[in-house]
Amino acid sequence: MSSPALEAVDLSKTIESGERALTILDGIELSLNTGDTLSIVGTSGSGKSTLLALLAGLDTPSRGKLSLLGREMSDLDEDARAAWRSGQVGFVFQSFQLLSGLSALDNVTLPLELTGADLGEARETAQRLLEQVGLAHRIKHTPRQLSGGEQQRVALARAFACRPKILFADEPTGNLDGATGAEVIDQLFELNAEQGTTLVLVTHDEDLAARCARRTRLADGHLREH
Amino acid sequence: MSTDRTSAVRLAWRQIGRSRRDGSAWILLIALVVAVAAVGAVSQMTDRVRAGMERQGAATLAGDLELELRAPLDEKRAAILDEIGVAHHGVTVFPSVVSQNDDEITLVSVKAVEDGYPLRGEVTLRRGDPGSPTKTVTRAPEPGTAWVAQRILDAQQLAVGDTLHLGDARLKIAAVLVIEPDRGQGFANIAPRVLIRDADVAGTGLLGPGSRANYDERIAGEPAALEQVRERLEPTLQPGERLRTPAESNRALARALDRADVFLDLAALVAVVLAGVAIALTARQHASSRLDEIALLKTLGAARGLIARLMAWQLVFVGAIGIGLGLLVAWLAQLGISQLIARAFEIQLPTASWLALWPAAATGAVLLAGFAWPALAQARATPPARVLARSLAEQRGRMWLIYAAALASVALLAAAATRDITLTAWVVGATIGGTAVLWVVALGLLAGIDRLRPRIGNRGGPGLRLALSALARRRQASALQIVAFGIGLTMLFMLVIVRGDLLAGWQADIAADAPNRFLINITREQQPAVAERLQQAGLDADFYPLVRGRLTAVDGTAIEDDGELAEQAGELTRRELNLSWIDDLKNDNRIVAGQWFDADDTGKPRMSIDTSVAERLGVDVGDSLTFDITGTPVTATIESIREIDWSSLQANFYVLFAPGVLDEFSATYITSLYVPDDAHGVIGALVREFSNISVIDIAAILEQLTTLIDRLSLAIELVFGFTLAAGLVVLLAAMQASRAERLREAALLRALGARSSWLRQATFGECLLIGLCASLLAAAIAQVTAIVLAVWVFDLGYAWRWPLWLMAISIATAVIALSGLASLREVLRQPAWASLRASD
Repeated sequence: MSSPALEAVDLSKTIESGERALTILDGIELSLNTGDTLSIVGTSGSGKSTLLALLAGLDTPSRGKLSLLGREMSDLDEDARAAWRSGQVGFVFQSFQLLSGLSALDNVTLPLELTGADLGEARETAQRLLEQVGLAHRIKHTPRQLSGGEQQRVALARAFACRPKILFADEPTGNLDGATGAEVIDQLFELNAEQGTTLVLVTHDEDLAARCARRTRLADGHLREH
Repeated sequence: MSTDRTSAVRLAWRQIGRSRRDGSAWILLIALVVAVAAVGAVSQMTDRVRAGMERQGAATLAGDLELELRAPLDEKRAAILDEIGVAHHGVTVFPSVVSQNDDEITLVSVKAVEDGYPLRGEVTLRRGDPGSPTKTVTRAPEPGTAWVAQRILDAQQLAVGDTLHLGDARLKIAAVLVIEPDRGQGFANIAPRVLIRDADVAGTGLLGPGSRANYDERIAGEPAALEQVRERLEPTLQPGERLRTPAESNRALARALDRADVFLDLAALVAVVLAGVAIALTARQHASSRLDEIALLKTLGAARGLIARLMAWQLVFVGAIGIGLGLLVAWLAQLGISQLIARAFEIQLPTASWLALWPAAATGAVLLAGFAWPALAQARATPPARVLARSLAEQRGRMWLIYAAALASVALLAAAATRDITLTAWVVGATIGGTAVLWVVALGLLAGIDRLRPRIGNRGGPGLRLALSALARRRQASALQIVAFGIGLTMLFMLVIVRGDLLAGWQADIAADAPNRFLINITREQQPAVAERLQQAGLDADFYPLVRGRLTAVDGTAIEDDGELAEQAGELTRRELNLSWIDDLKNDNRIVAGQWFDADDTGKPRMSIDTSVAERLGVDVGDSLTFDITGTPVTATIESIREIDWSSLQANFYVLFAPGVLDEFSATYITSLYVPDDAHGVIGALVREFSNISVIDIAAILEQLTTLIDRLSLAIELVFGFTLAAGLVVLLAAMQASRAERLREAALLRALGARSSWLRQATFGECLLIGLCASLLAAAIAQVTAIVLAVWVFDLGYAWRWPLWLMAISIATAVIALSGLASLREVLRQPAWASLRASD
């Protein structure tokens, strides 16, 4: 069997808060195979987002090791990690993080451009994905002109544009109402299944978490698998 | 005060405290501080530089004011001057002759001064032979002694220490007079000088009733006191009496001061416009950063009225802090700079007044109210539902009326600060026109870049691709930035060019080969021989014929019969004027009315007069003047009126007749020429050969003018340096306006896998292109405006300066690109995650 898509060993994060050191994550152990879907639930402030940032290589741990898509992250600097992510890792954020000056189409084209793809092809791919999430009629609109649900669907299209090997989703429905959230999640799992992407989903929503094959809970800095 | 109102003030104050971490509030504050400081410092500085220049000019009069009299100052008016508390003393100038032995008679001009002379400036003396060291003094000669020009010593074979026979008096020659500050220009004082004390005049027996003498009272004091002198003395002036400032009595100086004045005003105006651009840019951003807060307050039950008051108070607090800090910076800056100015002009300047800073404070307030308030007031209409959906944005209203009003207020303030409405109108007009041109061309250029993008495709690497896509996609924002940078750069470029032209114009005025000698009294017969000798020595000289005549009638009315006319004509009738004729109009003359003579006019009774003569006599083209030339009346019609550039130091004439009219009268010739130091022998030989020819050395006057212009140039450089610095800071503030957006974008791109080097290349490339577009457009607009200014306002010729452009465009582009790069440093320092969370 090939190496795991993600492997964390003794991953810990401590931050200095005034004179005291505050341990947010303590000795996290986790291994994900390609195509796995994993949910991480926890209460507000339990450190879910911090864990996601560490697992995606967006932040560095205070202790421990992380291997992402077969590459040891600990000895890489920010730039090298970014280069490794490019085209392989997708993100969906709670607050969408779309660029406000760009149209929906341009927002989705962006990660493809970063991989050096041809502009014309990149636009075609982006358009196809936007059609797939039901936004064919809104590709020229800027985030400002879109509803929250529509913005998150643009973010989904952007996340899958590069056919990432692994996707990190941070409270993807956190800013959406129930019905809209459910629609977005359906589309997320649909695209995920279609592309066979490994998925790490952080949420406080138990029902949403239940849709993943593996479920974990983060409490007191420790991760426990159900 | 109602509870509601109090709570708005308190809430506003607390919000100000909380907004310490709000980037846009900081930028607005910085822009405001820079705006107020720049306007304040520049206007303060221009005031002080102007005061310095006037003092410098005062030296050419040895006083701040000159009261031209027909007799020594009467007791009544002396009492007025004493009462006001200004320093004053009398100067008497009269012609005489010196003849130590009966062989040689030298015409001299005697100047008798009182104790305290000179009130301004200094006298340069020498004890030894020409070439030996000189020293400067600020006192009058001792009674019983005289300071004598070298020409008199040479002619009379005298030396320092000898006794000078002046009328009945015997005076000891204490020193050679090298430069007297108030020598003046022109041919009125062409005889060499003997400077003596007033107490010795009576002993000479030279001044009796009916003697030809000029009496002046020189006055010096603070500006307010001088103003009082003007107010109280002007009504007492009799016909033939005049009150003059240095600028009024010295035309070359007046021109230099005028140009410097316009430049200083321009510098202050540019500071206002730059500040306006920066505040307008940051105010909108600040207002939109308030939207969430407003929505939240509304959700919590705040009424629109409360929110309006809250916004207003916040603005009042930001304004008070910003204006206060700005004034402080302006004050400190001018303190430092006035030290420099004081040193440059070697004078003590009066302390600047806080009150003089009011235009700066008012400019800050108007900019804030005009540009920040409309945006905030509009933000007030934010629907509370924005709390739930940020996409519910502010509605755009019709803002142009408010902006137009704000622009008009700024223009009025600028006019108040510079007291020059024409110049302000030019600058404001050029700004509006320039903005429109910039906007249209910028959008066109960006559209062009977008078209080119697919062709460049993947060839340029990810950095260039990202840069181009950022430009093309954010077309409106990029265009706005190009316009903002463009306006700022246009202003700075314009100042660079005008400054260069101004300095070059002055340098030309005092060019190394400006004439330093006049040869006069050359007879018609001698003229060809003199011309030949000069040509053989390699000296260029143009000869002008000269006939002397006294003005006797204007349009047939005899001046002596008309008291009013006599008063108007003043000294024009008191002394004989030099009348001349030439075929072609000289370069330093410009026709302002009528036509220059053509071939048909030869021999016909036509003349061309200087503007000052036309103004003085109240005559125009078509009127006639009558001159008495050796007893013969000659009447001619005015065919044209000329403006003479006296700063050229060339021989020039108030009245030129059409060629051929004065042929019957005996004329002498005059020439002005530049004699290099090693060619003195040529002139000496010429004078020995033709003993009737007189040489007038104006090297000393030239030297004085050079010193003055050097100091004026330094003042211009100082003020320019400050405006340039202010402009740069404002440009950087404008760059900061797009910083937040860039930070978020960079963080996201990093999360998506962009490398730091790509981000650097992308930002650098984007800012480089914006900078290049802005500076190219600015260069083009500034070039056109500068030509207009040079030709119409400063009355200077214009020269293209490609190296200057190349340098200005490169520097501006580099500064913009590097400041864009600098704004990226923050995001590259922290993990991508932290940047994204911060922008969440």
